Amino acid sequence: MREKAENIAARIPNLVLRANKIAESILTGLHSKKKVGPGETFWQFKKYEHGDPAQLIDWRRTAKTNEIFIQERELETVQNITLWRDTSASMHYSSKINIDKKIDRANLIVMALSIILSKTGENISLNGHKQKPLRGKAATDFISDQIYKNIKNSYIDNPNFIDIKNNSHVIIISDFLNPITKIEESLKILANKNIHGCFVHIFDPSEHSLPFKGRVNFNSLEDNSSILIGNVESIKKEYVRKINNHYKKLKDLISSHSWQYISHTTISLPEEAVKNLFLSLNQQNKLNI
Amino acid sequence: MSFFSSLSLISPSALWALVAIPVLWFVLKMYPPSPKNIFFPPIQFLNNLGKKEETSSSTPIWLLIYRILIILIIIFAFANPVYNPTQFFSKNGPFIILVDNGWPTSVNWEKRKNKIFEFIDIADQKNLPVILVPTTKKDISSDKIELMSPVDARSKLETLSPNPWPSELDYVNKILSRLPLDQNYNLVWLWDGINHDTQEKYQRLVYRLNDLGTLKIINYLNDLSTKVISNVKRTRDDILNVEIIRSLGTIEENIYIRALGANGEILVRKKTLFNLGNRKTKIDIQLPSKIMNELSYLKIENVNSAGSIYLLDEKWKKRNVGIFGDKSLFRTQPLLSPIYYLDRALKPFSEIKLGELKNLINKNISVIFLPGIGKIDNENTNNLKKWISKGGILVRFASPNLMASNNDLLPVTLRTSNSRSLGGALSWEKPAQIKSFNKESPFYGIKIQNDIFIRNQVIAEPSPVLASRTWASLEDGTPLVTALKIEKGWNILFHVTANADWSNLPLSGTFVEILEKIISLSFSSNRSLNSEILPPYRLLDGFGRLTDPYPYSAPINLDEEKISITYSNSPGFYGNDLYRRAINLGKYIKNLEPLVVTFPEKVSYENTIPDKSLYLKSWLMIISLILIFLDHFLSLLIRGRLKINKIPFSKILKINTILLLIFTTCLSNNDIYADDKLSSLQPQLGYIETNNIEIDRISQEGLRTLGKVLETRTSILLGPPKKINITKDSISFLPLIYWPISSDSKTISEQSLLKIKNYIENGGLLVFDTRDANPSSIVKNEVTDEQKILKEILRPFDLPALIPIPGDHVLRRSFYLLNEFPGRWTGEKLWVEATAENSRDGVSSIIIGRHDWAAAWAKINNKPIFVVVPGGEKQREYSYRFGINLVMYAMTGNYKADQVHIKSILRRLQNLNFNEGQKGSETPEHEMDSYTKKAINERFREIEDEENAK
Repeated sequence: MREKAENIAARIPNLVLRANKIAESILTGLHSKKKVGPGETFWQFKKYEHGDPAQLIDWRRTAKTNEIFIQERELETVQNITLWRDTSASMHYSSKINIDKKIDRANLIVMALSIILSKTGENISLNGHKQKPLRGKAATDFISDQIYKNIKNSYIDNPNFIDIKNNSHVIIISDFLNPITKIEESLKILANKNIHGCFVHIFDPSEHSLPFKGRVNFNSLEDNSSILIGNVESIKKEYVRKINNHYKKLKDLISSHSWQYISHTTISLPEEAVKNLFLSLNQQNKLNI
Repeated sequence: MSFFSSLSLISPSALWALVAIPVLWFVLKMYPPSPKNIFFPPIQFLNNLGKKEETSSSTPIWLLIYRILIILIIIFAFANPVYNPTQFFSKNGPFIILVDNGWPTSVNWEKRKNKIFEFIDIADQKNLPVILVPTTKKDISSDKIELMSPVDARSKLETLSPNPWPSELDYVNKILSRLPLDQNYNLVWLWDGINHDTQEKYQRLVYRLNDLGTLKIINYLNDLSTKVISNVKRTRDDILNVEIIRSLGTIEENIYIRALGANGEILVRKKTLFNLGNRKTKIDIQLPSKIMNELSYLKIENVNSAGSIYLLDEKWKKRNVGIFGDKSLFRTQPLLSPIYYLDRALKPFSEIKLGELKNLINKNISVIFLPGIGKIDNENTNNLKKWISKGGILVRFASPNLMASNNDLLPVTLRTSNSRSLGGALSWEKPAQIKSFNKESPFYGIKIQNDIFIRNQVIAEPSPVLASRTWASLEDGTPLVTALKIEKGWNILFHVTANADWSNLPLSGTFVEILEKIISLSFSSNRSLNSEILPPYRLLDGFGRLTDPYPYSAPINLDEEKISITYSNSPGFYGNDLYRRAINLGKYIKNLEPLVVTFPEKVSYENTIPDKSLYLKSWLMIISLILIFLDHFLSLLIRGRLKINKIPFSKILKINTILLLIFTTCLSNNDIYADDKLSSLQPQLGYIETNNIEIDRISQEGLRTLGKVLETRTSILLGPPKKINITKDSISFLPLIYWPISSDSKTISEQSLLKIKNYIENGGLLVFDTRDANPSSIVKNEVTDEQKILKEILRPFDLPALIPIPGDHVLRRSFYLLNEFPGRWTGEKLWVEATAENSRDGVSSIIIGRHDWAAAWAKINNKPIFVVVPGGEKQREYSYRFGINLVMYAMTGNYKADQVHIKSILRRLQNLNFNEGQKGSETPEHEMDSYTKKAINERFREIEDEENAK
């Protein structure tokens, strides 16, 4: 028991550490393209024009020149970003020991993203918790805490869409193995609320290619059902066709609602996914960066 | 056919396991190889895909057959098959087996027999008739040729045994000459490798056999050199000089000669050495003359053949001599009684019986002295006459009343007038001296003391036969001793009295010598006695055991210059119960030498055991192991787990290592059981289970308590005592076995006997305890049941001589210094092996006592169970000390015999003695016997001297 608990506990700082690393690499990458200086709210200096509120005048800047400058802040367009990752049993799977489990990868992406977003000053909420959207360090602390608790305690399987505010940006991370119709339903609800977002589809490489041979008894992670296959190779083709069909349907569905779709296998680098995700967020909304 | 015919199963009962194969078939069929279990999240996509494949997933039939094959191989392996190819038979004629079954073959007769059985088996397989030709002639009817079926040959072989006489070549030739020559024979000659005739004759026989067909000569059973006691001489009264010869001189060899009594008890055992290159050795065996009389034969130890035994007949023995005379005088005034003088003179070399004449005649006595007896009544006269004619010797002495008697039973006629006296008051003649003996006399060679004077004698009536009947005479020619042969016996008369009345002859040494000579006549090698033909009495069989004569045994004529040992004259005793002569094989072996024969090219000569037989068990096991290994791969292949780049070796190896371990334990011959492991890791004392639970409990508790005592006082840590069922349990790891004998103990089986022998051979220690030294049985002083049973148990052992424990025995000082070895009882002797020269460093492997030690040791809850008598708790303490010494002795052997310790031990002993002398309180009841004291003091002085010299 204790050993197990320690193991799990050891994973948390590890997760945060890895997430930090990823976030840093992305942030520095972004900053090299932008202007110097962090400045959370500072956007640009602007010549004073009539009508501008006097308290906006940046006196230091004004003193350097003859003209009067006001400090123009960014438009108050702080995004509510809601993160949700699938914690169902099927996520707890990796086909090989040296490959991350899908849930681990999902957690990592959530964590890294939340770090980045907290730095850019977004309101972040982890869906499924009755907690107001948080900003900054409070957000990352809360999320890492929740991830830790989720590992320890029960899972929150389904996104709670009612809690999601309108105009939120939603990031859904899952393996999307449930039937397409169910996904479509939830997508519709969100679309009705005028919510946009991104689907991050995580899958294990084995799920895509079925690399098994011979006589295999396949067990479900969700329930106790199992299927015995006498010769796996013989059904491989059919399976691949079937699952690709599922993926295609999923993609079509998502793009038809003009959501973003990012697919991510657990063997590729997590940075990639986080970066793509971040860029897609940038595309859709003007973030404060 | 040829492969399977030369295949045999050692333990065919394992094939019963084949019955289980159909069951296995079912099981394997019902349970296909288990699938690989995999968790797979997108399982719903597999939902409708797998169904049509499901049915084909049972074990493929070829795999099933493959696995059955593996099991078949394993079962077959356990049946322990032996492949024994014999490329022998090249011809299809009858199979002639020449079997040497002369006296040298008895040493390993069973092996020889088994070898012949093997040949008969081969003949059986080939369906050939067998001709079994023993090379010793048994009786006249046996020299015919008999074509037998292998079955008959087997039953004939069963009855075949070695004979105590040598093989006869003439006989073999005679048989062979009866063979029809038109056949191609297969010949096997299982020879003994000893030249019984001449080398040329053997050579000719080999050629002849070679001409008859394919010949194979088997020599490897003659690897031991044949040994024979060839001669025994008495060089001194108490020394026998034994000459032993052997057939091969290639190695140095130690042999032991045993001198045995009539009932097989060992009187003396002596070692002698055959030097390298020597085929002959001699050894002097010294026996006190008293014991010499009990000696009945000599034997080479561990050799059971007619040649290894040298029977000693009456010639070697003290004779039973009877004296009939006036006993009352002997009792009241011995110095006047003639019996006294005879008794003194005869004692050194004869067994003297005094008694009534009638009894003496019936008592198997060969010489009867009648001193001072005149008239003998008619009945006795007749009896005596009969007795003499059968070989008895009657010796009479002159006496005053002899004159009055009739002349029956006298060798010469006596003058009726009175005896003459010489040198007396009324005589003018001087006392006469004895004339030196002439050559015809049996006394020839005896030196006559010149202080012997004859004063009085009876005179014989002159007659033509007188001179020839005179054995000794006086200087004037008058006879002193006359003798008459009556059939086989003698009637002898001394013309003087047996006391000092008439002469001082009875006081002289000459008298003793004369009497000795007379007595020696009764078993005489004197030629004058030899013209006789003796019937067979008790003969040796091929294994050197005395049996009744064979139907074809013939009387032997000892007169003949050359006696040859044949079926009719086999070695053994000839004669009757009164008089018997030994004919020993060794004496008639002219030249014990190995055969030197050159072989024609075609003859196959097997000098070493051709072990071509292949024991297939291990190979089959290895094959099945490989097949099982392959099976793993196959099943993995089927299950699709086999990835070429990543074979799960670790798993396979794990399973196979277990299999390998199982297999190797199957293959190893010496199975060590878990129990033994315990006793090999921690020494345990063992005790033999009796039929009596109570005794077992006492043994258990006794040894347990002893173990505790050992733990506290010494560095020996013992495990719990082990109960031994002698038939079942292994005893090889126990340092000491306590063997209580109860009145209902059983004797032991052959197998356990072997086990025990092995145990002793390898240094084990057996302690027998008859537990019967309780005061009541001591008082009765009779042989108890337990002793009888112990004897019964020990009978089959080849026990070395046992002696009461000597004063300087290591057991007395292996830990404590002990003088007595008390148990619950005390006072009886402790018997150990006479450890002069045994192979185990002089450590006795058997200790026998009667003190019921376990009962003294046994304590339950620290309270003794039994009272020890008579010494009380002090005695119990000593019994523990004995126990400790015993275990120490078992563990360390003769370590304490090492001279390194002797000095300090001696010091202590001296101090002890000194203290005893001073205070008299230490251990007064354990006073040292004088022998030990003396030995210790001597040894101590020696050491002191040595040190001084340094």
